[in-house]
Amino acid sequence: MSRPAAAARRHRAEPSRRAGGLRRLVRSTWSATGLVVVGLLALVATAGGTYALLGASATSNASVIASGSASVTVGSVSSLDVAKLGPGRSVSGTFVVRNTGTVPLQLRLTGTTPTSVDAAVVGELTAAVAVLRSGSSCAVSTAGASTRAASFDTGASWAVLPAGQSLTACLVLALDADAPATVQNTAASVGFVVAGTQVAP
Amino acid sequence: MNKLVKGSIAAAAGVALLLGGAGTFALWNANTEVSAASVSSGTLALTTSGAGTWTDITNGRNVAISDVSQYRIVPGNKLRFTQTMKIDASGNDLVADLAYSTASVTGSLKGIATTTMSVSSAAGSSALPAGVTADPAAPGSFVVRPVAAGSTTAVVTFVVELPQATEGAASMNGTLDLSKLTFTLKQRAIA
Repeated sequence: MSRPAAAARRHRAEPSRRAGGLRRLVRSTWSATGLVVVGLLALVATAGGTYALLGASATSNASVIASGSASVTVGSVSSLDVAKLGPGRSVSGTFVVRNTGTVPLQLRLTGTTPTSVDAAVVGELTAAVAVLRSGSSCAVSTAGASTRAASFDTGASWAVLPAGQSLTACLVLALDADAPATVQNTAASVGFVVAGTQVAP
Repeated sequence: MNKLVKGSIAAAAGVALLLGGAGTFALWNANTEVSAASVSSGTLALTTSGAGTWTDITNGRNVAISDVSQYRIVPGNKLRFTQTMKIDASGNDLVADLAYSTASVTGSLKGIATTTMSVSSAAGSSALPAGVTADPAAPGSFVVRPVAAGSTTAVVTFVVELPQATEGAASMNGTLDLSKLTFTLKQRAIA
């Protein structure tokens, strides 16, 4: 390579080097500007709540309000001597309902729909339920009016049970006097649901 | 003395001349002082006066609750918290909104229990305090403007209700934490 040619290339490269330096300077200036902008934005963001408009607040310790609960439990029915159950006869037993919530409850007792297997027997049964008074025994005379077990319903306000208290109920099941022979020696489940609804304030 | 020393002395002399002659250029000038008074900014402050009280107002009752933390609210209950507050507001163009911070109400019953705020001039009164008006655009919010006295007393009531139609399981054994109940005054931008 000849010496003049190399010199000529140097001269041509000089402006491009200067341009590259200028670009670097512009780039670094923009970077610095960007950093300043980001910094300013961060300052503005962290200064939230200190805008020029006036503001004031006051906090009051108004305590914590807690809600109550409605809960009811039912103990199993004392053993029913179903061996004595025949056409026109009845058996009786007791069960305990307890209000374990914090509000008084209105109780309702309803019969459940029997399964298809049990339907034949349950269809021949009538039920009667009453709150058992202290000192009285559970019998047909204390249980009151009876209706078909599966569709049994005391209504919405069978009894009111205060919070934390319990009651003993008397249940009487009677087999129809005209029950067919097909239901003898047959076992069936008879179900009832006790529901408690809060007494409105 | 070399040239550098001579030059330095001449420069120092020039600077000294310039400094000594500051403000005394040949052209005339004059100034005077005008008393334009001072400009004062307004104030906006909200402070509680004493402790608040709770009352059972379910179905028209008016029974004081000595310790609301022992109360167990059930669907259908309505309780009222009453707090006396002092509002300081001054400023020619000052208009501020008085409300409560929903963020200051917490607990599992938030969103189940309904809460409303109202303001009156005195406990049991339905009249609004001086300088306070209901905001028709935002029910439950109030607009505060300065009064001649500079401050006004407001009785703020905060009603908590568990609606009768509330679904049982979600509302049982819950809490509504109002221990940091915050009332706010925020200036409106000048229109």
